[in-house]
Amino acid sequence: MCCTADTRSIYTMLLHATELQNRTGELRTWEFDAVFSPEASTTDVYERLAMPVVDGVLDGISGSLLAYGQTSSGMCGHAPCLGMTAHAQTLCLSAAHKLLGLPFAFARPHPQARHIRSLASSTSRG
Amino acid sequence: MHDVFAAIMEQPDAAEWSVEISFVELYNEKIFDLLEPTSTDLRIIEDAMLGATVRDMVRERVDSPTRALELLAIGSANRAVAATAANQRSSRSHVLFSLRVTSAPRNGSRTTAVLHVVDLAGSERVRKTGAEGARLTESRRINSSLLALGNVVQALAKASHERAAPSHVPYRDSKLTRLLSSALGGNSRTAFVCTLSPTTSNASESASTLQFAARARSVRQTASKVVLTDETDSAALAAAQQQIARLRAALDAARQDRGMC
Repeated sequence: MCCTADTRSIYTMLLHATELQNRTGELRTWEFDAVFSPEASTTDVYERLAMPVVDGVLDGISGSLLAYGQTSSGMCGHAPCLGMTAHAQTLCLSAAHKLLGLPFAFARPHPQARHIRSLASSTSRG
Repeated sequence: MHDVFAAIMEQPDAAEWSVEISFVELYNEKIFDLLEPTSTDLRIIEDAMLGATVRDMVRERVDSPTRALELLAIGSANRAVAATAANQRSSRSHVLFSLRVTSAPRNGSRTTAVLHVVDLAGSERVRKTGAEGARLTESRRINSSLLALGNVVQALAKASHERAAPSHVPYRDSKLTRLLSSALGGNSRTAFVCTLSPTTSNASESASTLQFAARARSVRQTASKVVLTDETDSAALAAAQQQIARLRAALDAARQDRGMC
């Protein structure tokens, strides 16, 4: 079902896409708080992305985790968005466990999904 | 697992926790309660304490992670049932799983906070997927709510950039943005996970995802604790009454200026 091609070469191909270049052919750049490779574990994503938010909730500061992406960005041909959905669900599970003070176990993320974390509100007074 | 529970119980400053779970789905601009499958098209109400919330939605108090996960499974199963009836609906709707945590330490004030975990529907190009009929309508609605989300984020990012209060944020353009209004522009910490497809055929979607993520990152909010006290309600009432008085005075002044009084 899933593509087995070398992901590194696919990413290199992507860098040559005209959509990711500006008018003079230079690569457009964006800055993020973290970029996760397809090899990143859910624990990596949880610790960098969800933990500050969950800690806030335990401390009385509301928080939100949102998964955003195009259809099938898990790159799974016919299966829709497995990577994204699986991640969102794992985040749910781990957050639920964390909130109830229990240890949690993680599943491996969908291998083809690439995750970019953007912490919209890292400046908190609370 | 029992050991961990026991350890929590033995803590001297053990707080009393209550965790309430709700689980709703937004499909075609309609809200369904995944914990109450018979629900149809629920309405959004504005709550003074909670912000925009869903009326009549199930809020189940859970006392164990097992039950919390059960609810997640039940909700997901309800979603899957609808999926077969409505053509892969699961990837074409937004889902909002919320945990409301209220804690009351033995010596200290009660705090309350909500964790929203939101799985947004995938964005897609209608032209590319060849969607038609009901699926085309779905695509338009998905894309219009994601567009509304993009517009809200853009308005907030612009205000953050200018270090000014946002003049108008179009939360009311979709139910998605109304429900997320406190998460996006309110008193909350928010993190986005954006997924990318590494194929060149999806490069334009990848570019817009990156653009969205970069914009979302530039939004700055200040989040602070919500402490519940017995006075919270009366303080809110007093604040509202003061605001009414201020607005009345402003309105009177404006009327006098125009000679309408």
